[in-house]
Order: sequence, then structure tokens, then C-alpha cells
Amino acid sequence: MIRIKDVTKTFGAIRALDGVSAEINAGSIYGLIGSNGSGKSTLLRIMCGVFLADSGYVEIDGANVYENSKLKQNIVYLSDELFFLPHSTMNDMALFYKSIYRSFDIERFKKLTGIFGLDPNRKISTFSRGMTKQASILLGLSLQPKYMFLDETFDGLDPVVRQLVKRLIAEEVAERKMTPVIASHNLRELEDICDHVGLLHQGGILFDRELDDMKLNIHKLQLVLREETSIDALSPLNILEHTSRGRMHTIVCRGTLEEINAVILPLEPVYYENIPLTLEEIFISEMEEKGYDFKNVIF
Amino acid sequence: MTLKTSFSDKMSSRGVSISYVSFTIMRMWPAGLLFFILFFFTMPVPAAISISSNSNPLSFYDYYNSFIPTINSIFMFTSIFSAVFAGCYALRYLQSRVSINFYHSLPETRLSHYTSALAASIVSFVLAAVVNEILLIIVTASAGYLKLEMFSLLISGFGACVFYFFVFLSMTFFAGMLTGLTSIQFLMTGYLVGIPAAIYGCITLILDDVFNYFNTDSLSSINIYAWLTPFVRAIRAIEFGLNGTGKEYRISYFILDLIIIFALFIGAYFIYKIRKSERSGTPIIFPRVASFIKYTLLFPATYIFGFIFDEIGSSGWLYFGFTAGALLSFMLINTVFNRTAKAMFVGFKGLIIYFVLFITIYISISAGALNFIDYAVPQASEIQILADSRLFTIDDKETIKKIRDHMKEINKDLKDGKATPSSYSVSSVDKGLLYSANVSEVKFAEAVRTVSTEVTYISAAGIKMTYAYYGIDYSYFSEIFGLIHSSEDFALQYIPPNTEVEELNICAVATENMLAKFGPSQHNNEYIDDEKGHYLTSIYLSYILHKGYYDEYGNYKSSKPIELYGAFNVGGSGYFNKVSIGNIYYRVVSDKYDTSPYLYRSNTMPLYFDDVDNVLSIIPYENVHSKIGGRHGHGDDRIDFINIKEFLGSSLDEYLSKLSDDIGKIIIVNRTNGNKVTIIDKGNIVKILASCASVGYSSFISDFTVTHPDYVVYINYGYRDPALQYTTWFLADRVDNVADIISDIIK
Repeated sequence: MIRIKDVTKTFGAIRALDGVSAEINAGSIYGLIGSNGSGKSTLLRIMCGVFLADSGYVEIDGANVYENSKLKQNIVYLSDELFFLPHSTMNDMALFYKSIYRSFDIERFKKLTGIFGLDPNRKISTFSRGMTKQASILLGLSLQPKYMFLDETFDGLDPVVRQLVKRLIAEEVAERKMTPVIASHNLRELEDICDHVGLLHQGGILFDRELDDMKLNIHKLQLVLREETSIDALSPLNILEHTSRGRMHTIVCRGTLEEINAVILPLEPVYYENIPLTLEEIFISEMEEKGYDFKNVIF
Repeated sequence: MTLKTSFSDKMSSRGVSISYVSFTIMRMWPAGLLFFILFFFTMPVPAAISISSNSNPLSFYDYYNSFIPTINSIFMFTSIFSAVFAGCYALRYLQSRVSINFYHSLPETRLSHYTSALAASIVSFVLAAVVNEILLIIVTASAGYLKLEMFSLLISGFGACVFYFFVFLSMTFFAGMLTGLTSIQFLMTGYLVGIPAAIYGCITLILDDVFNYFNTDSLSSINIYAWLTPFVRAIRAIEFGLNGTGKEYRISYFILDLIIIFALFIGAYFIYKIRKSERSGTPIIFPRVASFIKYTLLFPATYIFGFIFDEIGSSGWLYFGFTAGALLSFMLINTVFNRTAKAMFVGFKGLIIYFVLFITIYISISAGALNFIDYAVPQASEIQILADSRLFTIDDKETIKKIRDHMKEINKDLKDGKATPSSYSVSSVDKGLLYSANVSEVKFAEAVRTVSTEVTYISAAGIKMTYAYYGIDYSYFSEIFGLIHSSEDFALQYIPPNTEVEELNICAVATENMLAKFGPSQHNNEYIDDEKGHYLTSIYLSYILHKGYYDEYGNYKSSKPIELYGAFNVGGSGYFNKVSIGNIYYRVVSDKYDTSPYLYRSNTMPLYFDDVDNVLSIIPYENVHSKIGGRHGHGDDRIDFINIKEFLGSSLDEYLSKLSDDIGKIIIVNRTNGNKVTIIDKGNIVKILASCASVGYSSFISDFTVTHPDYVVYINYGYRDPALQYTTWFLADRVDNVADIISDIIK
């Protein structure tokens, strides 16, 4: 489990993180969402022990991560700015990791190299950007870490590889209860893999929720009421958003499906459908409720 | 049952991963290869070439005395370069944000990272250095030159270079922890090495301009700079191996550098521990350190600019130089520290404050804020007074007190402007005299007898403060010289030249053996028996005369020593078989001293002799100093000649008579009325010489010699015009001996 408690980090006059707190359960896939400059990378670097928080702490499995080499054996960090040993091949990097990480699995490395189709004897400096990303991912997965922190990892990957990576991560979570924390500014990218999301904005966590909870408690409905039924009949619902086109009402409201049905079904609507919400729509609704124009939060 | 923990486990428990260290060492191979190539082509390869040359292979003597010391010197410089390169190369991961994100996310502590970088730096250098040193030894042995003294020289040079590798590596590591860019790390290393010396140098230059009498030469002594920068200490360390004397390298330097090594390596680690990863990629990690560095750099930059403009322009340009130096260096430093020219005026207020302070202090000092030092008369447990290149030391308390009282009065007059250097002076050290027959052009009436001397006050703690007085009227110092002249210290230290010698008996010699079976050049002092002593004395005195010669241009030249041989190699051994004797010491034999406890060194012209087993060669030095069993310092100590009974060998008259053969004429000038007389008669010349303060080929008018101030004596050696001319004075108590000769000019 990762416990982040009141973490603050300042760079000169810039307050990158301001009292951030969160809990990430083991085995969950956590999506850390935020716009550029929101503090995602800073938080990840504190979590993997690169930076020291000005105040607050990050505990992983009950221990402080900073300067904790034993704990860091279970952590791998894939930075948005990738680094490899100069003039090295993937085999060189594998040897390097093998000398440091006790859990590095050379067989898994070979297998993943085959899956991704990369030449382990070729210098990484000759790889394309996407290939470099793939190389970092497969090396990271070969470490079989308990915690994997990925910073904008899907950027630069083609859709096929992206799906492959998501599948591999999901397999690791399912088989070994790995806990990935994926930082991204792209909600759509995280939607089909994360089960927990946190939204960073201007150094603070605005939002930290289980995705299932969010989806269970917020629904998008389309309905057509009987002519004699007034729209006021929907007032018991906790409506977040309401648009109408003629007699067709599109409503986003908070509450369980049972609670919502208890209000709508007695009205015997002419048409009633529950439409799946995208993560983006959920976020927009949640942010607007908090008084933020979501478009200002995420591009 | 307990299991023994392996070394790896122990290190791991302390946060150091052996495998990571090993991996890092192996990754340092490019640096190691560079070092190997560098050392290979500057050590064994030149050695192999030098001894295998068909046309002119190096002899053992040259290989030992010159070649290997040169190799060691080059090795010192390449070691320093290697230290800086290794430190920058090993710590380059710290100097980039991208790489530090990677490395600090690894399951390694900072201790592990630090240890790895340090171990990699050391191993890459040591392997390359040791292998090449072994190759050099093999090459030396293959030539048959690997004797004990050669091996010692090789090993001592190697040890010195390795030691200073560590010194400079520690400074580079320390610099690396303070900086976030490799280029700045390199500059910071230079800063750590040189800034104390640079600041101190500028301060001494300022003081040199300010003081009229306080002698700042002692402040500029290279010994002081040896304390301020390891660069000078490193050069001295290798000089130890160069000439085997080791006089300039002190054990205290070694201790200081040992402290530096430990302090900086440990300090660097602790800085690393608190160093923020996010600051990598910025020039200076700690902003306050940046400010400190900025202003310590500004000071020498400001002053040096001013100095340059003052030198090439005039004094008005000094302040222009200060302003330009401060502003330009401020702009440059800001640009480097912030990596953008847009930041060149950041902190401009600080520059204003600094500059105002600098100018205020400079003007105050120039206006006399430190004048009290110039006119100080410090407390002293010893006073040394320099006269005529001779140093006289006074430690008698009463005499010191009197000298200090006189100096206070002199200083008062100097301060009030009553005592000023004269534009005309008649002194052996002043070039105001004209070497011309037309002496009437010189305004002797306006000439004064001046003195140039130094007075050094030495405190009980050994601190010296020296004051130099040039061209001051002799009358100011006459009482002080009188005090010295009448002291017992003086009597034991100084004999006026040409005092009649009653007995000379050589009893000890100082030898210098150069190579061969005697090992490196060394000085030995040894007593010799009476028989050898008498033999030497007679040889010595019989060759005391020199012959001059005219060169192709018709100029008279002072003689070369009479050389009876030159150095030569013996057979095929390659050794020089030359033994020389440095100084000849003699003991006073007189009624006054039963046996003089002191030995005194002679001071005559050099002689050369061939080296045969049972004949000692004689090559007296003029500049070797120590005496056996002496009480007071060094210098041209002489015996109390008036107590000598017999002079073996030629008499003074005989000596002067032979000397007169070389003298074409003597011109004597009366300073008070300008009258002159020319003496060409040999008999009269001898009488004149016997009455003068010095008659040798150089003029040694001592301020302690009581000479008659009215007459200047010009001695022309040779018979052509212009001749080689020397100037002297009559001894005060002997001028009456020549009254009849100079009667024409007395009136």
C-alpha cells in the first residue's frame, strides 16, 4: 500500500505540490491525472525516492521510501524523460538491472523482447522514440516490481503497442498483484485500465475515487416523460447536468441506479435509457459540481 | 550456529552494493583507457626511446639526474589532469536532471552511488598508473640502470603523484557536489585550487603599492603560496624527487593535504546527502554558495583589471579598470551561473554595495590607513640587519632595545618627510656613480652618502617583519651600525675585507659528490687531518690569483677560474667521476681562543681540480651557507683575523702586488672639492689597494666598514679604455697611509 500524507514540494517560488494526500491500495491500478504542470511527475518522483518532500511523507508498505534501498528493490520508475546507460544495448541494460535488482528475470526479459519485436543487441540510441518507450517498459516489467510508476508512458506508442502494454500491466496486476501508478493527462487512455483515479490540479488532489464507485454513483439518463408529467417530478434526483431537446431529456445525476429508478420508474416514462458515461464525462460533472470549469483543468 | 556474513553482505547492510560498485568501475573503462594511453606515451615509451637511441643514448647520470625527474614532473601534471577528469567523468550522472532521475530511482543509497563513483575514479587511475610504472621500471632495468637510488627515485616520484591525484580528486568531488553541470564542476575545481592564492596575491599587490618601507617580498614568498594552493605543494613534492634535496617539501604540507583529502571526501559525501536531486542541471546547487563564489571571484577580477589599466595607462585609469573589472566579471559570472545572458544583471544591488565597499577600502588604504605598519617598530627577540649582502643577527636584548629606539626616531623623520631618499648617492649599490674619467660633471657637493639596508624584526614566535630602506642618508643609520659594529655578535660574524691574515689552516671541507658510487648529489661536511689541511691550504692560497683576458672586442674580462680539468666519463660505466669540495672551513688558532669553537667559511674565487683518488678537489662556492658548529645563521662568516698569528702561503702584500699587474690605473676623487688624481705607478697602486675597503673584482662596501667618506676610489682593471672599473673607498684608519700619494687632491 502507498500512503501519501500532506506532501508539499516547492521549487524556488513554485509550489508544485501543496498538501497532497492519497492512499493507493496494493493491487489496484491507479491513474494519476492532471494537466501539464499539475505536479504528476513531481509526485511520482517523491514516491520513488528521487525527490524528498519539503513536508509530509510517502510510505510504501509502511516504510519511508526516501534512501530506502531495500524498499526500492520493489519499485521501478519509468520517467517521461527516459535515460539509458550511454551507448548501451538492451542486453547491457538487462545486465545492469540484473546486477542491481534481485528480482530481474532474464527469461521474462527475453520473452518480452520477442513479444515487442526489439533487437536486444542494437544500441538503444538508434531506436525511435516509440521503440525507446517500449524498451523501457519491457525492462521495467522484467524487473517484476511490486510497484511500477509510469509517467506519460503511453505517449508515443502506437495503438497496437498501447493495448499490448495495457494487457501486460493487467496481467502483472492479476498474477502478482503489482500496483501500477500511471500518470497521464489523457483520460481516455486510462479509462479502460485504471480502477482508481486521482486528479491533480495546481499541486493539490481535487479528486480521488474508485472508478467503479464513480460509475456506480453517477449515471447518464435519457428519457421522455409523459405529456402530463412535469419535469419537476425529477426534482428528487441529484441532477448534475440537464439538457433538453424537445421532450427528450438528457440528465446526469448522482446516486445509485436503484435510487434513480425509484424516482423515474413510477413516472412511467415513454422512453428511458441508461447511457454509459465516459471517464471524461464523469470528471466534467464532478468538477463542475466543485465549481471548476473542467476545460480549464484539463486540455 | 551463526553464519558468517560476507563482505558483500556487510557492505549491503551499510547501504553499499558491491555489484553496483563493480558495475560502475567497469563502466569507467573509457577513462581508464585514456589514462593508460596518456601515461604510456609519457612514461615507458619516452624512457625506452631515450635509452635505445643509436646516436645518443642517455647515460645513467643524465637518466637519473634529469630524465626520470622530468618524467616524474610530467606524471605529476598528468595525475592532476587525471584526477579532475576522473572526478568529472564519474560524477557526470549528477549533472543532468534526466540521468539523476534514473540513478536516484534505483534501489541504491546515495552512499552506494558515491562509493561507486569514487571507487571507479580511483581504480581507473591506479590501474593505469601502476601498470605504466611497472613498465617504466622494466625499461629502466633493461638498460641496467635500476640501482637502489634509481628505484627510490622512481617510487618516491610515483608515490608523490598518486598522493596528489587523491588531493585533486577530493577537490573535484567536492566541486561536483556543489555544482550541477560538468563544465561548472570543472571551473569550481579550479576555483577551489586557486582562489585563496588569487585573493592573497591581489592583497599583496595592493600592499606592495601602499607600503614604502615594509617589505612585502616576504608576503609574496612562494612558501606562503605553498600553503594556499595544492598546486604549488604538488610541484614541490615532485621537486623532492627531482633533485633529491626535499628542502622545499615539508611534512606539514603532507599533513595539510592528508587533511584536505579526508575532509573533502567526507564533506562531499555529506553535501551529497543534502543535495536536492531537482537542482541537477543548474550551475550551482546551493544559491548561497553561488553568492559567496560570485563575490570572492569579483575581488581579484576587479583588482586585476584595475592593475592592468594602471600599468598600460596611468593612475587615472586605475579606477576605470576597477569599474570595468567589477561590472564585466559580474555580468560574466551571472551569465555562467544562470546559463543565460538575460540574467547578467541579477543582483545588481549587491554589485553596487560590493563596489562601494571595495573602493572605500582601497582609497582608505591608499590614503594611509595602513601606514602604521610602514612606520612600525615591532617587538623582537632578534633583529637581522642586511648590509652589503651580509645578514647580521642581533639577539642581545639591550642592543635590540637601542636599535629599536633609533628606528623609532628614523621612522618619525621618514614620516615627517625629513628623511628622504637622495637623488644623488655614492654607494656601491647605487648606480648614481659615473664610470667615466670626466667626474667633474657629477655634483659631488650635492651627493650624500646613503645606505640601503633591510631591518628584520623576528618575534619570539618566529614571525618576521622586514623593512627595506633604500638611499637613506647614512647618518640616520650610523648609530645603529655603530651599535652593531661594537657588539660581540658582530665580532663573531664579520671580518672586514683585506684584514691582515696571520694564520690560515684549513681543517674541514664540505664536499659535493655527484652520482656514481656516492649516490645522489649530496653535501658532506668532514674534518680533515692536519697534513691534508696544510696541503690544501698551500694549494688554495697559491691559486688565489686570477688572470684576466681581452676578448675579441678588446674588452677586458674578468678571468675564468683556472681550470685544471673538465668532467669526463670513466670507461663505459656512464658515471661521472667528479668529486667537488664546496666550502673550505678553517679554525681560528690564536691566543684569544684556545681553540675556536667556530669554523668559518672562506670567501674566495672558485678553483677547479681534477679528481684523483687521493687528492681532494677544491671548488669553493660563494653561495653555500651553513657552517659547522656555528651560532648565528648563515652568511660569509669570517674569522677574527686580528687574532690570527700566521698566514701560511703568500702574504697580503705579495697578493696585492700580483693583483696590481692587472690594474691599469686608479683614479681617486675628492668628493668635497671634486679634485682627482690618477695613479699608474705600481708601487703606489699596491699601497692604495692595501688601504681600500675592497680590492677584488667586485666591490663590497659594507655599511659596517668604517670607511672615509671623502674619497672615491675607481680601480680600472685592464689597460684599454673604457676599462672594467670598480669603485671602492679608503678604510678610515688607513687613509693616512696614502696621504702622500693623494696629497694633490687633499687641498
